Amino acid sequence: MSPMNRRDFLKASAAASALIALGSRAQAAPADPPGLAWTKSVCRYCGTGCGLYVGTRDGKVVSVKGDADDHNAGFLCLKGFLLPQIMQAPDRLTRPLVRKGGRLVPVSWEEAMTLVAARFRAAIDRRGPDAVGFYGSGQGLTEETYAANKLFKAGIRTNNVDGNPRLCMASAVAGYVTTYGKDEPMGCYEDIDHADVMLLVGSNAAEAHPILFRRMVKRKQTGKDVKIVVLDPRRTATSRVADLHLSFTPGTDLAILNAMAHVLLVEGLVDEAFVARHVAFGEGTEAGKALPDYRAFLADYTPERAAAISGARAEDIVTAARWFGERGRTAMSMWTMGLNQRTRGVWANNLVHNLHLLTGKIGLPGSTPFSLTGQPNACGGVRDGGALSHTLPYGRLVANEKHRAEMEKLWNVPAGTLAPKPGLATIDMFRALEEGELEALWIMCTNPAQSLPNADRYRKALRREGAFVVVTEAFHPTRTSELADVVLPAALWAEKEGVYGCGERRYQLLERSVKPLGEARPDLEILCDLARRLGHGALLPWRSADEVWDELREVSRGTAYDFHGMTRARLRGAHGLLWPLPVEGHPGTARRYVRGEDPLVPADAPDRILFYGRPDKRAVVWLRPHKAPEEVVDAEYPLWFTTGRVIEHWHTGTMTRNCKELRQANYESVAELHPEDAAALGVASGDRVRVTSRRGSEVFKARVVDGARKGLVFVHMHDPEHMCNRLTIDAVDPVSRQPEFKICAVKVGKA
Amino acid sequence: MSPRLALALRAAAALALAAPLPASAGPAARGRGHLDVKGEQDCAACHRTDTPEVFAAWEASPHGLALVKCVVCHGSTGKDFRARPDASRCRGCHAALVESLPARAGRDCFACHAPHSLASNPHR
Amino acid sequence: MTTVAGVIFLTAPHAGPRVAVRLAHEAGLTLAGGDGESRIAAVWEAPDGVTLETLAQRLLAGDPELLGVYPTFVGEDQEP
Repeated sequence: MSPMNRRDFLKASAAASALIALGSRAQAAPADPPGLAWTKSVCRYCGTGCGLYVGTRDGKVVSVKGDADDHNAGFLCLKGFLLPQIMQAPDRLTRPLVRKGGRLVPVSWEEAMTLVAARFRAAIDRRGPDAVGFYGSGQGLTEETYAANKLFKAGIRTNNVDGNPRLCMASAVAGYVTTYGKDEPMGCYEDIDHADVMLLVGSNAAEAHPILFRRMVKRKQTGKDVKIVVLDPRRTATSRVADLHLSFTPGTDLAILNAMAHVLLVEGLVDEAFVARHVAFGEGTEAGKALPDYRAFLADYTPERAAAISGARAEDIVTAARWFGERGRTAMSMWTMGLNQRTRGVWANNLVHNLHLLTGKIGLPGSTPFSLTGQPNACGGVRDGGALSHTLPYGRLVANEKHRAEMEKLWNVPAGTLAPKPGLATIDMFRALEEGELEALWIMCTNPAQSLPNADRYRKALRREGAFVVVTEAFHPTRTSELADVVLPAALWAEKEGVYGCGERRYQLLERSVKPLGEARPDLEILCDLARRLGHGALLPWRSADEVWDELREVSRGTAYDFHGMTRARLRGAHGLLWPLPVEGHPGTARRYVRGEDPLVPADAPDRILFYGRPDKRAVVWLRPHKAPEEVVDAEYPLWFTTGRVIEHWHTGTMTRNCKELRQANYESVAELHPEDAAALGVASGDRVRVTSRRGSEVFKARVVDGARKGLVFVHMHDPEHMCNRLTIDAVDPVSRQPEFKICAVKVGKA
Repeated sequence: MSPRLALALRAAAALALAAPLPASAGPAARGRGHLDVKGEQDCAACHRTDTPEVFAAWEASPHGLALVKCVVCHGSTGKDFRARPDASRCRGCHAALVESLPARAGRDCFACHAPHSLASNPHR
Repeated sequence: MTTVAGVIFLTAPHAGPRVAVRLAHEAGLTLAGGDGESRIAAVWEAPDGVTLETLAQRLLAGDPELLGVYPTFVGEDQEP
């Protein structure tokens, strides 16, 4: 026996003897069951974009495990962990449905698509291209969203193409664009590992971005004197790790953020050299101001005044600002819907960017303003892909003649094909449906009849006589598919191949693991079929997602998103790649705008940073005043109402409510009340309460929660049977057109 | 082999043969189901007060902070309930560590990791 | 030459996991499993049996929760 073999033999014998002596308590856990095949993919849920492997056996998804080589280091939250259960769920739709005599009945694909094409054609013939629209999703694959965008804008020639990122990220987009000239964060998740101060504002990362939260916690535990500041009216699970938690009246965070900037200025924490080189100042839409104007503007925003407006403590505002601005320490801001889902969402985003621009804490490891994206492909598919009503792919704008000409050339369509006027953004689109201006609507991979604010109004619009609504969905019924005229069975997650782009500019390939269930088809296939039937087959000639990718790379070439070097083959082998990645062999870009890291910054640029997104090569600090939300509490509706997410569920629950553990752990949307509010109402946990706003009313079970804010009611969005959106307001930010899901006024009484 | 070692070996053999496994005060043996729970509710609804030490240990642990809730390891209260989770559940996030344990010896994470508090990290 | 031993560590009740952590950092010791309560199985490699005994004594003296060290198997490998 060779020396090595003998040693191994001895050790194995030793171990075996010890374990036998131990007895049967040591269990043999199953090794990987035989016949299990693993394919590389990405989680179906949030914008964190965790890499994972899908385990299949006998053509079914039976297991997932985290990808240890991806940014999530092998970790998954409980939703991702339980993904296998969604695939074979009992409410998977396997056949097309058409409404006949008031009921949805199964039909063949041929019958359904013939009807759909005919109705779309009739609407276009009757009232022109703008009689139809497409409402897509930040959960669709990049290739699918691109196909829809191309078909509707270049084929049908309507700009009525929008998507649910309008409800989610639009304000973050406009915040980045107004500040830097270009959308998307400049930092990456790795910045968390270098952050000395983390400012979380309007984010419950512990429940909404769990794997990023885990990274933040790890940094806090392993870094030196790391501070976490949380700004949130509620004390959530995220606050458990906060060194400082500021609670405040909903909507008053604008005053607090301005006051923090005020403190930075008066305490000399501004990086004057950085500001002089890289920052412009602006008001309204013009960047024509200067630092003295900004100083004068902020004179009013003392911590004391902000405290009076917001209810936060002045000393806490000062502490937060001092920690953020401390010289020699890095600072990273992270935020999500608390800032975005507001009528002043764009302004709120600007104010966070201001803090980084004043202190120069940007473009350095650990120093960056990082908007956390909600959906798995809001970035890759809709934002980057330009599938909104005012955008074209990769940073181009509908209203820009040069951009339209570029796209017409790339898409090989005659000059003048693309309509110059932006189309309808989401709320406007559903209002147009309500008024009859829009006759036919294609809804892909989203559930607006549950997720739109002021839901009852738009549910009526979807059933308007004369409206023709097509929904592609993997599940039926959903609150939207139940209202549709045609429901087409869509392939779900592991049943199709495509790319997702998550929050840190990381594009990742989801490989197909199993065949679609029943007659379900990938949305790409369905859209190509529609295109052919409408006479635009030449625009969507693809038979697989693979074939779309080369076109996408070409369309991105020369733009700020340039990922031409990101070949499909490279994506297949990699664990995600960060754009810009302009040539094959380029490693991808961790930090944009930074010389030496961002390939779009010339090597001989004079400074470390170049904000190439704007012609003046500067980022803009915008003078934004505090302004109240659209609807505030009053005598008749005396309680604030806010909505949000819990870790167990994703969006409208169509997938997660099929997982027994998640259903068990959190079944119903409940009304979370502060103990004093509950006492005043004579309500205990478990009692049913009726919550009413000016728009609608819903009954929820009450739950008294210690971390709640007095005067604020919270309900999560994941329950189709207790819909928070019957109460929410559909007022929108004037720039981003994103609704104010986070704030409205209600009254509560025993049901 | 020294006489003392030989003696110890005989003692160990005696120990192994003579001592039945102690009845454990820890988690129930595999296979015993959960109480029938009416309706869906979060485990914490009862366990915060019914098994306060267990809940507190979990809440203070890395799993508690990361919201790796009871259902992730134990399943729902239905047929899939496991009082003592097996390593296949751990594999979802900790695949490399699970696979590093000797297969022949049985992959039992809880041989070293205290349940719920997960206080130790012997893999470092 | 190396002595390879299979060993059971007996700990105070419920102390198994804690003791296991401390043992995991011992050079030459490879944990192989346990009952999660008070018994830990391990494989120990040392230059010879006397060294193993000395190591065992050191552990017993240094860890109040460690009650006993019982070899179940001892073999010798000519190689170092």
